[in-house]
Amino acid sequence: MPAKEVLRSWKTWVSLAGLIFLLWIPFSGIGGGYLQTLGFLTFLYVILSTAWNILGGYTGQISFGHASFYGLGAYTTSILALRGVSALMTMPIAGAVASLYGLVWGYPCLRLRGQYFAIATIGVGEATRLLMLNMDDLIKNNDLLKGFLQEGVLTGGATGLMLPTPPDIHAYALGFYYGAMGLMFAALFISWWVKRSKFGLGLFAINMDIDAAETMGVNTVYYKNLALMLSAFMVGIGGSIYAQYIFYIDPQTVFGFPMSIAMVLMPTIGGIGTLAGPILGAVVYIVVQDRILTANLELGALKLSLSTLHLLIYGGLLVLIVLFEPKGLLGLQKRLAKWWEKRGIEGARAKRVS
Amino acid sequence: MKSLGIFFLTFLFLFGLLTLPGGEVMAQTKEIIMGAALPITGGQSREGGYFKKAYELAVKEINDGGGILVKGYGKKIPIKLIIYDDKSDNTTSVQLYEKLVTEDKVHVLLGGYGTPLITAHTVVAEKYRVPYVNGGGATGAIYQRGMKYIFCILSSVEKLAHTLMDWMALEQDAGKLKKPVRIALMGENTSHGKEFRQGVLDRIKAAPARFQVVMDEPFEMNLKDADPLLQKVKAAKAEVYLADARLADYTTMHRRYTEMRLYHLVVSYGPRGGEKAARDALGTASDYIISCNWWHKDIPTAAAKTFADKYAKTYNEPAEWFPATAYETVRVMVKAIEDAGSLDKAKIRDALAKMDMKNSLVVGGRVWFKPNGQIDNDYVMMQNLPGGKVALIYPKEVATAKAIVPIPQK
Amino acid sequence: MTIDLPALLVSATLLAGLYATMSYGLALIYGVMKIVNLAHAGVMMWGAYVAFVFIVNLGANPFLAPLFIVPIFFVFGMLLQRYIVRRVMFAPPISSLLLLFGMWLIMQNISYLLFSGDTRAITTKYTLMTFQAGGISISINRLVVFFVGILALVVLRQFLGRTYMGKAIRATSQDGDASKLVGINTDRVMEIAFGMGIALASLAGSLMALIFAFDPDFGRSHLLKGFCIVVLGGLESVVGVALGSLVLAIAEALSVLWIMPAMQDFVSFALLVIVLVAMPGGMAGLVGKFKRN
Repeated sequence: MPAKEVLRSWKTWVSLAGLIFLLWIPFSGIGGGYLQTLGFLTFLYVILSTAWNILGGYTGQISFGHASFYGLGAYTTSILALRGVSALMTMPIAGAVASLYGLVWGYPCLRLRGQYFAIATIGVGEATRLLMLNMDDLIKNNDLLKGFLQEGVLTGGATGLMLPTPPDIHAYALGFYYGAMGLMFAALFISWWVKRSKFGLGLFAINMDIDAAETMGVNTVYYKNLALMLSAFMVGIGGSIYAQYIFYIDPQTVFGFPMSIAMVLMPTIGGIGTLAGPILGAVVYIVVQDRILTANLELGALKLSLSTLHLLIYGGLLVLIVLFEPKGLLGLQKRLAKWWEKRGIEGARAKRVS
Repeated sequence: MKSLGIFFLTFLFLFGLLTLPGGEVMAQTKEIIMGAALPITGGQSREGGYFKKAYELAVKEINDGGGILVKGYGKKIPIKLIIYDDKSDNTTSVQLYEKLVTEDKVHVLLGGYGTPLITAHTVVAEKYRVPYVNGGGATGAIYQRGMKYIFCILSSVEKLAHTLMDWMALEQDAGKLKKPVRIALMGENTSHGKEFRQGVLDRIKAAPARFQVVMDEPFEMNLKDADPLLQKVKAAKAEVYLADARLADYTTMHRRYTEMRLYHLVVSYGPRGGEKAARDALGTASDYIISCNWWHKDIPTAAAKTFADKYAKTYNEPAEWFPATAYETVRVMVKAIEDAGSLDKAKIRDALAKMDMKNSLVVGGRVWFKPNGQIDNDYVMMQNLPGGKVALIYPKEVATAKAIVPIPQK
Repeated sequence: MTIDLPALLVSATLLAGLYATMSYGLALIYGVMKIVNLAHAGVMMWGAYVAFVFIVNLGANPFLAPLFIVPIFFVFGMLLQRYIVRRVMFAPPISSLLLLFGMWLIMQNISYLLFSGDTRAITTKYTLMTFQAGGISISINRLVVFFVGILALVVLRQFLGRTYMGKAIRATSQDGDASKLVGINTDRVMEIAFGMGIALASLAGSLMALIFAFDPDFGRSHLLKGFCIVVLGGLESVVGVALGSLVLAIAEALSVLWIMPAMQDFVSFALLVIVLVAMPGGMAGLVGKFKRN
């Protein structure tokens, strides 16, 4: 795109304004600083959402077990951090561990098609959670593996792992806000690059018709596994960030089925298979959820707390999206844009006729 | 490029949403804002519901009297209570406590319920230096992180287990329970269950002449079939049966226990067994179960009785320990504010650290905190009696009957 | 330490009956419509609450209550399919997955509003009743569930094999277009099949309410276990579900001899993955192979 055109387009300036807004948020004091926390969580979830989308959206392999990568990333970082490794250094290791795990179960499972793969991932997710929950008890009697325990703790089992908080936690949180934002852009860049690359083309081909793709020479096995490993790597890093920000992880939270579901829901609500869909989905998930959980409606004397309806609203949103706009909110936006354009054209046509 | 536009629209959306009325911010001196995030839905919804009711009851009472007397302002200021639903999810809990502090600008925080949730969100209270008192997270490890703003009016689960074991030692010395005795131990696979088992094992190791462990098993929650576990108990030929389970698993386990016609000299499910729901689910099969708890409505102090009556009248159900400790949490916080004489968070925190509240409904009647912020009061032990009654058997000051040990055989 | 093996196996068999009963609905809907019904958990939960109302509030006999509950849910299931689920029948699988998940959330919220998050249990005179057989005590409630599991299997097999609608259902699940060509009203078939699946789930829920304590979150762990069973059974066969339930229940029970009871569920999920990858036909596939040879 020629530079002059880019500069003239309103979209560029608007996006730049958006970026400046994001950078300014921690200093704005909006919501007393709450917007910064929401911002951080949104960045984190955009990373997760985008990562899942590479496997689920681009390649069409719906995974309900992505929490296993999130948890592995979180636990890798926590375990290493508790043994003296600098937490930030552990991030690539966390991603690598998750990625490797993806290869281990992905290689046999990716042979499965459609629903079968999805069901298998449910099994993987739960099996991983149970394994990590009981890991300490499993290895404490094994002479070989016993050495990994530190004061009898490796994963901490049900108790989870607590990380020490830093002395200046506000500066720390600020750093993480920008760090997460940077990683989010990195994740988006990766997603964008994949989409435009030959690799991405292969993934979309696999999504549309795997047999045809194979016939055309796409190495479907290699591509699928690579997509899974890349997706896992990114989610693993997400888990690592999570552990470093919340300072406490337990198997139910990071390996739980609800976490896996969240990673499926976000890109789907936003627009599966697109670049911006996962972003929209993550924002809806975090921000809208925040509003729903805390808003109170007052109609005259009737006081209704929306939080008692949050499951209803959330479920209802899902049902509506699936029934009426499977392409998610992004698809809705495109439809509205088309309708608006059509109105414009018909209006112009009507003008010409009269 | 189009996607960047979407990106911006997204954040416009976000910004727009934030201008909607969410939490309300009142001028500092018009109201004292207390906030909490409770598991109203999700796996802990039962307990979250109790806590919400108790918080509301306590706050209403104070407000009916005009509010909290804050010397620094020379008048009584009413409380505004904000309760959010954290869906029993850690990340949501952290997010909501952040919101309470930053957006809603609470003066003080009340606790949630459930060890994992509390472990996660107490970091937030400490981060912003907001006084936090909870009556719902007994696991000792929470308070061993060197935090200064976190307080808890529940004694640790470890102490619960110790109390149970110490009571058994007393029964042994009184000649009612044989010595040594073989113990089968089970605990749900959560930090609560783990701490319980650890507490029991501590005492077993310390007194091998009194106690021997013949079985020690964690079990996954939401049991579908208690048989494998109970067959192990039977095979281990234990004489005492100790388990730590929540209501659903207790129901599954003890129903099967009764069907299998198992018998042990002492049967206990830790804190479970004495409450109405537990008795209803098992009927006469719940007779003679021993439980060890943070509170019971029959504790013969004026404070306990007053609360039990008030709660029963307001909500038409008997008061269990959950709402009792939740209610007291609010009263402790109120007293701290009164003692501090101001709404300055650091002063309130200091008042909490020095807290010595008498005539409280907790066991022993006194609320005070160890340096790490957790209380170290006694427990009360109960035994279910036929006819749906519950007798208090320990400590001596509150006991209403002698424990029936060993349990009569059917 | 010697564990009473016969007793363990008896309870495993009873558990298999429970597993089967709670999985038939899932298998039927998947078999006919290739839809993974995530709302299955919500229906079981609703079945439990409706049973609670019937038994505790209206004083019905606990074993007769399902007779009223099942038809109600059958109609509910049919309506659900006709007006909502039908629209995602030919969409990519993720649509139906998310639609039904959304429905599950809605069902949970309704339960929270009507019944609060309190844990409920149903205690009747049958609750602790046992049947003694050679030193092994068998819970009456679980025995009833077991028999219902067998009965359901027999009835379903007869229905699918002998009746017109049953054969129509099987035909539609094999080849929807060909079925249309031979004059089968596939829309109606789908409605009935889905209705049956929902009815079976409500049957399971109303019976399980007699055994387990429940709250609006109930059903989640049963759903996940249900996947293991259905996969083990071969995903599309009712007989497979029965076989899969038996194999899984016994495997779980015996596994406590070697591994921690806490890892029992791990065995189920590991089996889920292994069976899907190595033995896609599941138990039914194995039986088929055995028969052919």
